[in-house]
Amino acid sequence: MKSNPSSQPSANSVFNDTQVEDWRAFFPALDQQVNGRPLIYLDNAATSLRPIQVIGAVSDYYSTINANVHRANHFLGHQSTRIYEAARQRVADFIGASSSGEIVFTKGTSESINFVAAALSEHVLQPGDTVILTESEHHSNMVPWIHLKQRLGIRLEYIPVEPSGEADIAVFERILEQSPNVRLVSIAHASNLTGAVHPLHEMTRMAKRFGALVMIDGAQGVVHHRVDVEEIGCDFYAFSAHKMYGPMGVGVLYIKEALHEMVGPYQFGGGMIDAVHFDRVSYAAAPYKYEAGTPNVAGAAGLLAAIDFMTKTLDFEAAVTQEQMLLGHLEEGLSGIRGVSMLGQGDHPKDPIVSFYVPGVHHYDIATMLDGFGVAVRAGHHCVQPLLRKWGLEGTIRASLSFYNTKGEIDAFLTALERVLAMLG
Amino acid sequence: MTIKEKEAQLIEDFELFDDWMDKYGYIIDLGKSGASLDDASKREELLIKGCQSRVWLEAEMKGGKVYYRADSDAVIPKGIAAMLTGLFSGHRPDEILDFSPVFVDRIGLGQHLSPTRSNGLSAMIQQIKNYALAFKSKEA
Repeated sequence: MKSNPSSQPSANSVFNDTQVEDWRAFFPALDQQVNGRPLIYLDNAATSLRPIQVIGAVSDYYSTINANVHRANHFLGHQSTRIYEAARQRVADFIGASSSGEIVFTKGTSESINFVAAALSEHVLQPGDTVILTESEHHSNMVPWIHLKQRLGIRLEYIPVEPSGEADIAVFERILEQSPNVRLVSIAHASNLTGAVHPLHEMTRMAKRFGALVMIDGAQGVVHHRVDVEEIGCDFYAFSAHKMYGPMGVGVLYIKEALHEMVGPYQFGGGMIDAVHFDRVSYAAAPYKYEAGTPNVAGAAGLLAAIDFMTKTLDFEAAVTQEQMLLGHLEEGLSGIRGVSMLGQGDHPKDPIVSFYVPGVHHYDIATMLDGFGVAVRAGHHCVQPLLRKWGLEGTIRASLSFYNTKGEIDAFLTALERVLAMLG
Repeated sequence: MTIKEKEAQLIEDFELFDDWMDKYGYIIDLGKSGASLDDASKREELLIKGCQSRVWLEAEMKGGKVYYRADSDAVIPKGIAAMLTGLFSGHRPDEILDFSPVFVDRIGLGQHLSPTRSNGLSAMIQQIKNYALAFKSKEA
C-alpha cells in the first residue's frame, strides 16, 4: 500500500503537480481510458471515486471477518461486531455527535430521509402541520414530504431559491411566522444543482425559535465541510458513504439523543427487539431499535476507511482549498465560452459544482458527445425538476469536481466542450 | 428492399467515416433530413417514455404497410429515430415484428449509444414494434 505523501501541503496552499499525482494514485478508477481517451471524471457529485484504502477495507472484510454482527458467540462474530461498532463511533466523532448511539446506519441519504419521514408520520406529524423545504431540494428530500402531504395532509412550504442558488432567508422568516404548526425544516447542506451552501447555522437557529425540528440533507455537504451537528444544532443529519469516497449502499442518519424516545423504529424484524411474544414486542435501545435485519457491515468497514482517509491520510483543508481553486478555474473557463449560461453564480459559499446550459442546444447531445472525449459529466434535471421547471429549463449539464481532478483535465474538458458546441450550435 | 437490406446499406454508409465525431455529424444530418413532425403533431401521447430527451413517434398504416415519423428536441436522438423510422417504414407489421436491428453496434457507436434508458434506443424500437402489433391485431 502506498504511504501517505510525505510533503505536507499547508492549509493555505494548493497541491503541486507531484502531490496531485500522489493523490490520484490512490484512486485506481482514474487510471483508465474511456472511448480511447484518458477518463476525465467530472461527476463527483453523483458519486465520488474510491481510494484503495476503502476498496481494501471492503475486500479485507469479506476475505477475513465475514460474520454476522451482534449475538455471536464466536471469534469472527466478535470481530465483525467490533468493526461495525468502531465504524459507528468513528462516524459519531467525524460529525461531532455526542455518542455513537446517535448514529444509525442506513442504505444511504434517501433511506435516511425516508426513515425520518416515516417515523415522524407515525407520532409527530398531524394533518395541517407544516414542513418547510427549499425549492432546490433533491427529490430525495422532497418526494417523501410530498407523499406525506398527499397521504397525511401535512402542509408543505418552500423557501424560494434564486438561480444563484441562494435561498431567500427573508421569505423563510416570513414562512416561519405565518405557517401553522411548523414541525420540521428539512434543507440540504449544499445544493446538488448549483453547489450553493446554505447558511445552516442561521437557518437552524431561526427554525428553533419557532420550535421546529431541523433535518439537514448532508449528501453533498459532508465531503466538502467539517460537519459538527451539535454546533449546527440540527436534530437529524443524513448522508451517504459513496459521495465521500466510501462504498455504495451504506449511509448514516444522525438522530439527536433527546429524540430517541419520540422517534420510533422505521423497520421491524430481527436485531431491533428487546423481547418478542406472540402478541407483543418491546424494542431494543437506540440505535439498535432503528436497525432491523443484517446490516451492511462491509459497507460500514468501508465507511470507516473513508473517514480515516479524509481525516488522517488527506489534508482535508488543503483538499478543500484545491477544490475551490479548481472550481474557480472551471467557472472562469466556462464564462469564456460563447452561449454558456451558468447557474449558481454569486458571492455566497459554494461547493465545487457547476451547472450550465446552452440555449438552443440540448443537454443530452452535449453530454453524449463529451463522453466521446472521455469526459464524464451529468446531464438532465439532477432530481431538481420543479425548480428547473420554474426557471424554464428542461435540464443542465453539471460538472462536479473533487480534489483529485486537475487543471489539465478541466482545460481538456473546456476544449472538448468548445468542439462539441461548434458542431451542435 | 427488405429491412435487413436497408440496414446493411446504412451500415455501409457509416463505413465512410473513421472519426466518431464525423459519425455523429452524419447521424445529426440524417435527423435533419428524416421524416419529422410539425410542432402541432408533437403531442404528449406520442412521447416515448424512457428517453432523457423528448422523442415523439407517430405511425400510420397504408396499403398494409406501416409508415413512421419521429422527432426529438435533441439532435442525436432525432438522428437515431430517423435511422429507425427509415429502416422500418414501408414494411408489413410481421416484417417489423421479426426484425431486431444491429446497426448501432455495427456502425461503431455501440459504446456511445448503448441501449440504456439514457438514449431510449430500446424504448424507441419497442414503440415501433408496439405500433406494428397494434396495426396487425386491427387487421386480423
